[in-house]
Amino acid sequence: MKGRDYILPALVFVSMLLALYLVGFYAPIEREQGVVQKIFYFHVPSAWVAFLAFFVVFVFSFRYLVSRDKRWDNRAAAAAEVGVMFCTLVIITGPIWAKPVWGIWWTWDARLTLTLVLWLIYVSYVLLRHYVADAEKRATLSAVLGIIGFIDVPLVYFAIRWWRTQHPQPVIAGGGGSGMDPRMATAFWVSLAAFTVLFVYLYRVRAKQHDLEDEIEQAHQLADELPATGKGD
Amino acid sequence: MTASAVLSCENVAKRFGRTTALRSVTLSVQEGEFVAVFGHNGAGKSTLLNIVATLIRSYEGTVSLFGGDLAKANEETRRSLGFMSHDSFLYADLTAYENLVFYARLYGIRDPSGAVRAMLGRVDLAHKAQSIVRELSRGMKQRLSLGRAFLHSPKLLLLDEPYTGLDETACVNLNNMLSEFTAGGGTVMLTTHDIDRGFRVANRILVLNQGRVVMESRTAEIGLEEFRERYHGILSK
Amino acid sequence: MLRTIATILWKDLRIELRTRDALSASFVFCVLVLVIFNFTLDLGSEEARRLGSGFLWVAFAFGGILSLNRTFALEKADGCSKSLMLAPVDRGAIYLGKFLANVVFMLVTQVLILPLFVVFFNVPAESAVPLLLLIFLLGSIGFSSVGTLFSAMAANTRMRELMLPLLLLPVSIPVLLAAVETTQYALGVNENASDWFKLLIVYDIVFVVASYLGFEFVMEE
Repeated sequence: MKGRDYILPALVFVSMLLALYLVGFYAPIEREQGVVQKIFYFHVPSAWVAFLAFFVVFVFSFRYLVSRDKRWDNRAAAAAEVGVMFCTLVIITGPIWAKPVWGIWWTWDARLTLTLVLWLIYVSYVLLRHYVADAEKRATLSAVLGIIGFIDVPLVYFAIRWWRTQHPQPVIAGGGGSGMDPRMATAFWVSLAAFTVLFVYLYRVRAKQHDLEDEIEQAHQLADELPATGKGD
Repeated sequence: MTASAVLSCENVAKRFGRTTALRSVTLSVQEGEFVAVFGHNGAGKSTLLNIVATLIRSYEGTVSLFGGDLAKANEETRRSLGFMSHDSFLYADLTAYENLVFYARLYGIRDPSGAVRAMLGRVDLAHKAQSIVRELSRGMKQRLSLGRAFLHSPKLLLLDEPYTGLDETACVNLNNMLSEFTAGGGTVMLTTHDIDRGFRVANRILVLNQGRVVMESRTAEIGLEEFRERYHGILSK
Repeated sequence: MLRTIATILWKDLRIELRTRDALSASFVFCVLVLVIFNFTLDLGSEEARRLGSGFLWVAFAFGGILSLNRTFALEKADGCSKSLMLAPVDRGAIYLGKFLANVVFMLVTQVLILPLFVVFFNVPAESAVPLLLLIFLLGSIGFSSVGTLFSAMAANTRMRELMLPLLLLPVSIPVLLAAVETTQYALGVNENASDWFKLLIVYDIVFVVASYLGFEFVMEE
């Protein structure tokens, strides 16, 4: 690996360490909820990354349909694969946070429900890719789904929000703005940055893997075309 | 590639994942020609036909159809194409008449019902016009498929293994319709295993092997026996 | 263009008139869903009125998926989708023809189910029928718009029948939610549903356009 290639992993390492330190030792323990509240520093950034990743899938899907360059499909797939992972984290950390604090696992509150729907769309994207054999068909269909899914998200957001105002329920992720201790804010923003950097790093690794898979495929094809050596190769 | 070339392919290649269907195909077909393409299974015959029919959109190389780049094929191009393969392209729950009228309307044929009735007569299915396709025999379905391919009077007719499953009378009928078609200025390109039938009715033959054109000749220049020998020689390599 | 749409619509309607496959499957399925809901949740009449709209649209969604699957299955058979691709017609017109056919099928099922719904759930719906029909129409348009696109997509995969609900249900959440809320309003359960009507209309417009544009890519070989 070149020297340049170490920058991003190093950045991930440093930012994560800093975030963990701030979350663990610098940010105060919340009065009402106790230590459990600190899940917030991972829960919300994961959600942010999940939505960011989906936006990335949308942009790359578009670029693929315009250019038909497989590398854009590789990038969209990479973003989706990493995104679904972070989305799963949100859905797992949500109940872990909710149970000790509010006594219930799940409340169908607006944000969590929206993330769940996003997760479902992600999963359908990943499954679609899994069930289409031909590489080009897979790329085209995924791109269309990536675009349609993304267009859907604002509509889902409004639908769930209006639904929730009509049938109110306790809100899990209450934190975020209202009267937060400045130390908590610092820890939050650093954690957010660390998660974003982590996403970029994981996305790049995955995209590179897809590109390499394509190169191996092409090499195999070229090898198939070589005339037999007559030595029983 | 002269001006009246209906179709010309230059270094056309197509891969499906690991399998290479076509390696490098260069050929040209003139107006009024009747080309029979031979080759063993997997030689790339169907792939070639599907590319020309605009069913496979991505491939390497250049194809020119009716003087224009195939990649830019539009509705007008497709209107001049006729295609027939082992898929019947028929809706099993519609009658013979309804199936043809559907296609007649899609292709913008004036007086769809008149044209359909005439075609049903030509393929000897007038008595089955109101029968549901599901209830037709295999041979009848094939005749109906054929009628569908000819219905809009295409300029270029592409047929993929048209003789498979046809009995003797049906084959003769098909060849008659094809001869009439080329006599009227139409161009035909068909693929087949059937050396005898294909050779007799075509005026040009091509042999594909492992994705390349390995032999090309006018049927007038070579006898059937000689061709059969050379063909088996190619296949056994 | 209009001719193409009409031709495709005519073809699908003709096949359905003859076989009644999609309609009977989706009608029976809707009835089953409603009956099972009634059994598994022993509802009093007040609750039935309040919750009935939800069950109704769940039934419509699943019935709709059955008929959506059907309309594309018959294209894949015998290579007919290839012959549509070969035809000198605008791909968008193919989409619109199939989309309209799907809307018709959903609507017919819904109209047939409505009296059963009124009976099973003891819902006083007589005065609301015109409004309900409008809601059925808007909901069917929204559901079928993405549904037609996704069933063409699913037809390309190995797990055709399973893929369609997986793709369609998450994305159709806004239209289903809006349909339920507006139905509740029509039945007198909700007070104000103007936002929901707006959502229905916005969803319909956005996704008919998006699916129309996206269909071109999905139909290629």
